[in-house]
Amino acid sequence: MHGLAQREGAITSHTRYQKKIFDDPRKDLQSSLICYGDADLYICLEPVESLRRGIFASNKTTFVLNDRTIPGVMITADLEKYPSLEKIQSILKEYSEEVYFLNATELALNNFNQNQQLNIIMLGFAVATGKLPFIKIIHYEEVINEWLRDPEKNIKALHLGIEEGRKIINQYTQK
Amino acid sequence: MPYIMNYKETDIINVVIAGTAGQGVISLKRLIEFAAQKAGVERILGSEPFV
Repeated sequence: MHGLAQREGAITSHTRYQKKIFDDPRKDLQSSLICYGDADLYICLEPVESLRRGIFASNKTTFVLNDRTIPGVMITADLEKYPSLEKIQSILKEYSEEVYFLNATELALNNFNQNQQLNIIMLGFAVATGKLPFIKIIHYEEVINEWLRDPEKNIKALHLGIEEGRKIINQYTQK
Repeated sequence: MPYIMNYKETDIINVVIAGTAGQGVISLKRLIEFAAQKAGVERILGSEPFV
C-alpha cells in the first residue's frame, strides 16, 4: 500500500456534533462533511495546512495553529516557497480575528522529550478557546485513560495545552 | 475583539483538523468524538479523508 498517509502528505478531518437533536429530523446534523464557510474551529497541527483547507472558514471560525512548519515535497524540491508565519496569519485574519499560534512541538519536546504529545497539547489549546462546547475536560481524561498508552503523560499534555492556550488567548483579549 | 458565541444544545459544532501524515490528526479526531460520546452528545459525525 502506498500513497495514502505518505510522509508530508496533507491530512484533513472533519468532526461534527450536536448535543441535542431536534424533534424535526430535517433540522438535525445529517452529513459528515462541513459546508463551506461553516467551520467553528480549525485545529492545525501544521500551519500551511490551514490555508489548504481555508474554504471551510468564515468570520465565526477560530484558528489554533501549531507554529512548527513541515515543508512539503514541492518545497523541499525547491519548486515552491513556504509562506512565512506572518503571511499565513495575515491571510487567516482576513477570515477571522481569532488566529492563535502555539509552539506545541517545542512544548512537547521540552516537556516530554518527544513530539508524540503534540496533538494532545493542541487539543488542550483548542479546549481553551471554548469552541468545543458541552465536552468537559474530564471526558477527555476518561477517553485518554481508556484508549491511550501512557495516560498520565497525555493528561499532563492536555493540561499543558489548556494552560498555555489560556495564556495566549488572555494576552490577545487584553489587547 | 474575538467572535463570542454562546452555543445552544441544538447547535451543530463543526471542527476541521488539519495536519500532515504522522502528526495524529485522526487520533485527535477520534479522541474528540469519543469524549463527545462520554459527554452525552446525541449526534456525532466525522470524516477521515486523506488528500
